[in-house]
Amino acid sequence: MLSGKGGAGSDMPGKRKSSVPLWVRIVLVVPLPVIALLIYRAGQNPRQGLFESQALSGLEVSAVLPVGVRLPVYLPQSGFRIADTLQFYTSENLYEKINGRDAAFFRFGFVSLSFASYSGAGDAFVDVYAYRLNRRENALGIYAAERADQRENISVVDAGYRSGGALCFYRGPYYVQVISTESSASVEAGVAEIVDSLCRLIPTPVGPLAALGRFPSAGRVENSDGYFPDNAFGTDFMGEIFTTQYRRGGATLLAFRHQSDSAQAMFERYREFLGQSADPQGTITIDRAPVYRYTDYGEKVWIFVIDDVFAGLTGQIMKDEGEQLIGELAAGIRLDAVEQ
Amino acid sequence: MERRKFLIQVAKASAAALVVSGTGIWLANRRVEEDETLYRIPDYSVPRDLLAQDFVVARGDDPQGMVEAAVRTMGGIDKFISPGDRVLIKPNVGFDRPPILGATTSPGVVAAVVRLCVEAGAGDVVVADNPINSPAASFARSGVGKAAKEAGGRVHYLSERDFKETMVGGVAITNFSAAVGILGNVSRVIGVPTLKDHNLSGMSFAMKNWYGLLGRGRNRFHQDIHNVIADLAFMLRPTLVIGDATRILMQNGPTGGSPSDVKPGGTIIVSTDAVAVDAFGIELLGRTIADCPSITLAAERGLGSANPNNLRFEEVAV
Amino acid sequence: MRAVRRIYQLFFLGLFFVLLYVATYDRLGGYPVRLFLDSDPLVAVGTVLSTGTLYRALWYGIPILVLTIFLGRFYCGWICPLGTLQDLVSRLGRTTLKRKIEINSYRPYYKLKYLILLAFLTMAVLGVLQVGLLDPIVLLTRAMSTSILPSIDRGDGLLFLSPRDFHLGWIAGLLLVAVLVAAFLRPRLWCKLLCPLGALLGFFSRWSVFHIRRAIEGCDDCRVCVGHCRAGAEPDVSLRKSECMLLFNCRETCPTDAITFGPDGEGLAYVVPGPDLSRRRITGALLAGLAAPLLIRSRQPVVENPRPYLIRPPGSLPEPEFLERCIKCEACMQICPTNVLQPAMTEAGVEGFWSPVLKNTIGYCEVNCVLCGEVCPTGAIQRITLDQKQGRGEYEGRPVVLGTAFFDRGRCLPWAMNRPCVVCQEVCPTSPKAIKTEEVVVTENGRSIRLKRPQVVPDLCIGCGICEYACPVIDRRAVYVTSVGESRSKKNVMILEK
Repeated sequence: MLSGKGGAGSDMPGKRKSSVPLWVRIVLVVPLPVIALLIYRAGQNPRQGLFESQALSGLEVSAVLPVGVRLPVYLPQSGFRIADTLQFYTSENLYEKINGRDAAFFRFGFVSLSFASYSGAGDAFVDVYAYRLNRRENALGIYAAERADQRENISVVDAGYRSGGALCFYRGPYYVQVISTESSASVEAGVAEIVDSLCRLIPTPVGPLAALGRFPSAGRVENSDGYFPDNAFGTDFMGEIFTTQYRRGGATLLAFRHQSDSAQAMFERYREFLGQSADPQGTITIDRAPVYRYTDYGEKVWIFVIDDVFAGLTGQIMKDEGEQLIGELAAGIRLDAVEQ
Repeated sequence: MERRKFLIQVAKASAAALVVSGTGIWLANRRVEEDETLYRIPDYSVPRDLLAQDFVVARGDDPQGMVEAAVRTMGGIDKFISPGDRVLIKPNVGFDRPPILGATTSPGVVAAVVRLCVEAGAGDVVVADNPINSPAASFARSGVGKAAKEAGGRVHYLSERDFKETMVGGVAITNFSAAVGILGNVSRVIGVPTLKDHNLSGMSFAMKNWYGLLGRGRNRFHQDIHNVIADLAFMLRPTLVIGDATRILMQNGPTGGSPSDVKPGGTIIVSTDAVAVDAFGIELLGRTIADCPSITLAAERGLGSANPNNLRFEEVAV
Repeated sequence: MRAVRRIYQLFFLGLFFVLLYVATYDRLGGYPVRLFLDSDPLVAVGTVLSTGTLYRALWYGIPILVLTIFLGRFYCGWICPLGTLQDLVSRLGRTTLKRKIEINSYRPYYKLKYLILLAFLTMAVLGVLQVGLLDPIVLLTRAMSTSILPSIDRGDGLLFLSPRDFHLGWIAGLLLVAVLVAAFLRPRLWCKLLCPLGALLGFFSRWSVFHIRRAIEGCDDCRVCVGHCRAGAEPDVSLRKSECMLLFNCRETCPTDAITFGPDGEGLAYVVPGPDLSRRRITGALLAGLAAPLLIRSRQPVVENPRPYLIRPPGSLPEPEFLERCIKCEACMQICPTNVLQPAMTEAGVEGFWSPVLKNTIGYCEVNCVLCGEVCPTGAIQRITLDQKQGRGEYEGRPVVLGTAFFDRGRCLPWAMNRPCVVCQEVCPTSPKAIKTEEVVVTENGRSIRLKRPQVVPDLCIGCGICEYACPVIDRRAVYVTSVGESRSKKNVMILEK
């Protein structure tokens, strides 16, 4: 053994005869990764209520708002948080938020608006407007009324699109607009997460609105459905009209449909209306139904009624395509009647 | 042998560990009690039906004679003070001013009241106030200290220890620091205010006199002074109020500053109703009740009468 | 065992820095960022003496003490991050064994740390808590929070989302640098000479059952062990249990394997249990501890002369109680998302040096945040809920108020210069707003200017300071917050309220 007694420069450690047994050393070291793991696990469970916005509690929501959606305060995946407060508007104060647009919403049975502005890292903001209308049809109606022509359709139930910095969709009785200030990857993540959360929060029946399914599918323009609860086509008596667009033979046609017990009466009134304001182009018969044709300031209007369904076409209707489409519409109506 | 030593060591270490752990468990999140008792001021009033009058005004120029005559007309001092009673005489010694400036109660009036109580057999007659300036200087310069002692009473300078958080339950004040150190020790309280003009409240007389029983933070009262004064009347029901209007500070109150602000008044007002005393006082200042809103506020709250004539009223000349 | 000890040291040093790194509002998650401070026995003992309670998670220090009672100063050698840093710095110097033996030998003046501890504990009994000045964990946390981390932050969002600025924070950093420089000159000099936590643990080591022991027969007095004993525990003579930090250098370097770890036994050298302090020295320390509060407390705390710029964080206890608890660890400043919490220099008096105050020119108190109370280990800043802070729910109408805003009408643009502004009202977070405006129309050069002139509504103002922060008169703000009206104080009141 080295004595090392006062030797200059020699401080070499000696070889130990009796060492600490390996198992002791392992037992001593093992707690460390366990501690690390516990701390890591604790870290994944954030304590709520330390740094949050003034989100209203569920009780306050129902007090302020009889019906509406409570937007999430925090989006964990993208890290977006409500920047200021969750805001609610009813018909009394909707004007404060959207000014003149409120008239359109009142037409479509506006119930409430939940608004929140989300912020993540940097200066990006994502504003979310969740309008609650009184019926699913009306949500479709306002959605269609505000729909941009230049758009990119997205796959979301019930229907949605992106245009510029806005992502709009309707789902059940809700019409949602998600407006972002920039299109960076992090903002996109936030927008995607918002849409996901809302789809979870907003219940919707399986399948589209029944009336929309009644339109034939060939040539149907994607994401072009619409609805008018009242005052359709410049009249004050046409209402509860579903519309959708078709592309047939290079032309875009708008098909409309109304189904109720007062379909006949509505048809008669519209016929009278068109008789006065447009040029009649004669009647043809398709599938045993008389189809009345008009030209109204360059637009062609073909209308017919079968039982309780009043339907028609408008647009640059060419003879063959028009008859074809009317035929499909009529056939559909007859088939429904038989099935019922 | 080794094992025994080892076990002894383990025992010592375990004992130490137990002490440490035990102390820790005992102290873990231990709540330390705070003194949060709220004091209440007792009611010092005597029943009205024992008295001959409710409101007596004495006119003359001899304070001793006027005080004696007025109290006699009320029914006699024995209706208010019984032998052995501990009495607090609360004059207005709010400022370090000589008597000629009219900012403090006349020493002669205070002496007369003290003498009366001593003659009635009171066990302890203590004279106290919480002035704006220093207590020793104020009692000395106003002459009240000497007069009280010569009359047989004792002067108590209030200190921090005398003040505790007290329930007031008023409109403007909920709780406040009050001199419960002496209020809790006496069974009778006699207010001896002096009639003064006041730049904010219109007048300082009977109700405002209780201001001097409150502690720190009084400088906030000015934000709602009239309700505060009415609250003071609510807070303290005295045995008797003996108002000094032998000379009146007619203007530049409450501190005055020139002898020309003071006019002779030649009046002593005695009553159990501080509101009525104030209502009488405002007229002596040459004004009306409208100039001192606290009177109406207190009367509306049922703390007294804004019209002394509605009480059993007597005037005596001395 | 030395290898195991090194693993432990590196692990806990890394853990310390990890927890410091995640102590910001966006990374906090559920991480136990208070872990080291909570388990610091000196913080526990100090606050127990000054307040009579053991706050919240400070009981973590109890197991440390219990283990110390049985095993000795393992904390110093295996866990303390400041100790590890010193050890890392010491490795930078290489020198001969003879020189090492001389450097690492025990010195009698190493008893100073016990006297320092005694003085601090005496002060604490009288309600003056200053253990945080020299406690190693507190010292390291403070230096990192207010000095080192803000200095190395390049502003790229890696460390902090926005640059941090701490007024005179370099003083705290300097203290850390001094400790490390001392370690370079003499290993663990701080620990041996000044560390009050080491002294506390050293005191409790007197009963330790297991300790380093030297076989008298096997030892040939080569003194290699002393050369490697950074703790100065004299394993070559009679081991000083109160100094031994269980570094195990002696055991690993002994050429004759004469040093082992275990209980007392036959043939083993005598072991010295505790520091031998003379009565004179103890008395001196006690007197020093008594003197400090007497000198400091000659100014009555917050009577009718409250300090206007002593604006404390939300949830703070009234000042006397606050000073009994604040250890000046500055963890609150680390986590504060707006950087408004700053180390006090003179705002809180001598006692409050390095304690947190709000400087609203640098930040403001975010109304939706209660993080400072969450990380305060001693409860100087109490843990409050958002409902309590904002006065909602069961606390309706009683929000936490930090102070009151005042306008300097000689500098405020609409008041002094007929220029429209009211940024202050725009950013005021209360509803209804605590800043109201009166509209006036002034004529200037024939033009009519419609101005809104702001005024504070004292009943509504919560003293958050965002008005001061946002005021465009940036060199000396035209609206500023002072402490009057703070809800934590019964005396610092201006408004007559029912």
